[in-house]
Amino acid sequence: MVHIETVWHRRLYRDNGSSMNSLGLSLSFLALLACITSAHADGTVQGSVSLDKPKPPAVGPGYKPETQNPVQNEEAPRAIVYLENASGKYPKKSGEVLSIRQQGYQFRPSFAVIQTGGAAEFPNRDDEFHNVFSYSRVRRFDLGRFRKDEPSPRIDFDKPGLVKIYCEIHQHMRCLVLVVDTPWYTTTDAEGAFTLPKVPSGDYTLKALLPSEKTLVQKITVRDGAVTKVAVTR
Amino acid sequence: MPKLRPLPYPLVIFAAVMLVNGPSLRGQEVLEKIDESLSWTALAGSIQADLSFLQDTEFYIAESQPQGLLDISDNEFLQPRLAAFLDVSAGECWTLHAQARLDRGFDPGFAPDGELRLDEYYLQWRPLADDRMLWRVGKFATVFGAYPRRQLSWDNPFITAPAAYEDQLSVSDDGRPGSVESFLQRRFLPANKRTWLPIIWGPAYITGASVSGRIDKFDYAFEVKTAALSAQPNRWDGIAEGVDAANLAGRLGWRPAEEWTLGASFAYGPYLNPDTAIGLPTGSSWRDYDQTTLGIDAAYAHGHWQCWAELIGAEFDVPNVGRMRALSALAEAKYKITATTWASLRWNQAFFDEVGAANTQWGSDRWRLDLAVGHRFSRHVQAKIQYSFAERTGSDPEGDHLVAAQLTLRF
Repeated sequence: MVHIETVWHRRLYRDNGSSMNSLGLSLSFLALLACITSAHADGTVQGSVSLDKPKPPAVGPGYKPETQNPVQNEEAPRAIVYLENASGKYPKKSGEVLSIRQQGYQFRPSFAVIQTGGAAEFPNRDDEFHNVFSYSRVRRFDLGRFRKDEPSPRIDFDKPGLVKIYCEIHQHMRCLVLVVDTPWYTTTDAEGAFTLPKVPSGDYTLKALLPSEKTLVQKITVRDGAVTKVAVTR
Repeated sequence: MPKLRPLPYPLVIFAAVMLVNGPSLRGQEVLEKIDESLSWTALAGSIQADLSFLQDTEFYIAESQPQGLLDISDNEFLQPRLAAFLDVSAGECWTLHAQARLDRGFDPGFAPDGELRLDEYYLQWRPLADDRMLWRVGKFATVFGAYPRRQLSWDNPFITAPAAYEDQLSVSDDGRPGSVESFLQRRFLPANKRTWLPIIWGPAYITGASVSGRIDKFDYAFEVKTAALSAQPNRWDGIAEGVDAANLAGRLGWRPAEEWTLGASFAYGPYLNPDTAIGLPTGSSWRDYDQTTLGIDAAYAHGHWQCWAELIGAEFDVPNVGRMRALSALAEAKYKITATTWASLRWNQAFFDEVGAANTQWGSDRWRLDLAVGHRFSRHVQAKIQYSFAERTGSDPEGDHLVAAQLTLRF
């Protein structure tokens, strides 16, 4: 819309000279207004998800590696919320790169979502080695052992699905990355609340993935300029 | 028409287990769910318990006399093993660990009809907020050397242990032989290997107590145990066998960089079995005959490489013979070819000293090459295959070739 408005503006200016200045400005203003109105025409989905209960920290195995620093707690459980339409055709974001740190002997974040075609890096922020790997069919990789602040290889995610990521050295460390085709996704806060803005109007299936890998499903309809309220329960 | 030799039944069973368990995705999901369900908490999380299992199915094809700690009469042997691990933590300070195994012997073939054992158990106390000091009491792996920390089937790139931890030397714990001549002849009679001792018997799960810790780039561990590093597994349980003598061991470690780990170890104490030691020189006791072991180890890891090396020197004070020295070395490398597949190579070498008056080596200098390839189907299923070739100087009545395969389920 902005591009169209700019072309019209230039054409009016060139063809009619300064006498057309006031008309051109008025049309520009109207076009800008239309553009802003259009942006606000998409709907918003807002709601809450009934989250998993926090799990107790894992019991260290008998041969657990001794760590230089204490192992920090896992993140509070959240949910990944995303919308799917019936056609299965979605606009693509480009160049999205997640940064999944290893910090305090945990993945941060430990629960993430990315669109197909995106990528992730795994910077090590601990003073000791980590060895990040995944045996998931969606994306298999093993980064090997690398030290603090050493550049992490970038892993591309080309297929949708759930990628389970672990550390070979610290077996309690785990991370879930959900790869989705849809661009309409978000992660809830620790209370389960979420907001998904800029969703085109239409009928959708809302899915909420929990860390327990259980997926809650709900049908919703999004209307232009409206906020659709959802409570996703089990 | 030549008659085809039927496939040995252990091989058929092993192949069936591989086919059923290896690539079965559904089976792996079941293992994942079992793994996650075997944890419990009580008292608002202050007491936690976790039960886990390793199920190994191993198949060996070996030349007679087989290398290392294999006691098998046929050339093929099937070794199923189920190991259960219990970990309980109470608060921040106390940990209980136990490992029970059901198999055909701690080492393949030593109990062909099967046995259930409590191989490892200990109580650990951490008095400080970090790992600077850990006190442990019970029956647990030795602190000597570097191999015991990767000896479980899931962590070991190979199926067998390095030669220093399993290659039996012609030293025994029964006080025999009565003369230098009969001692020197012993190495040509590997059929009697059942009574021989390696420098270190595997992880040496021996009863005792230890203190260990980690301070910045350094770590330390000292232990007092009821049997020597070379003791047979039936002598590891200090409660059942009684506490007759103390064996000391320790290791100091240093990490100059994250990639490198360097260590130096020692162990000292009597190695003869007080129940069977006979024919000792007049006036001497089994307590007078010690095993002294010194070792250095180095490990390197970066990217897809992991390498280990150890140099271990041992001296056995053999009754009626003298002090017998042996030097054993190993160099081992593992490389991850893909995310799920690795290849590993290990070189083992051993040299033996001469017996004073006879000017004859008491053992045959030897080397062994181990090659292995492993594949992880998932976090719960792993398969390995290993080939080993050994060579000894002079008369060599022991088998040169060994092929082994192993399927491990972890849940």
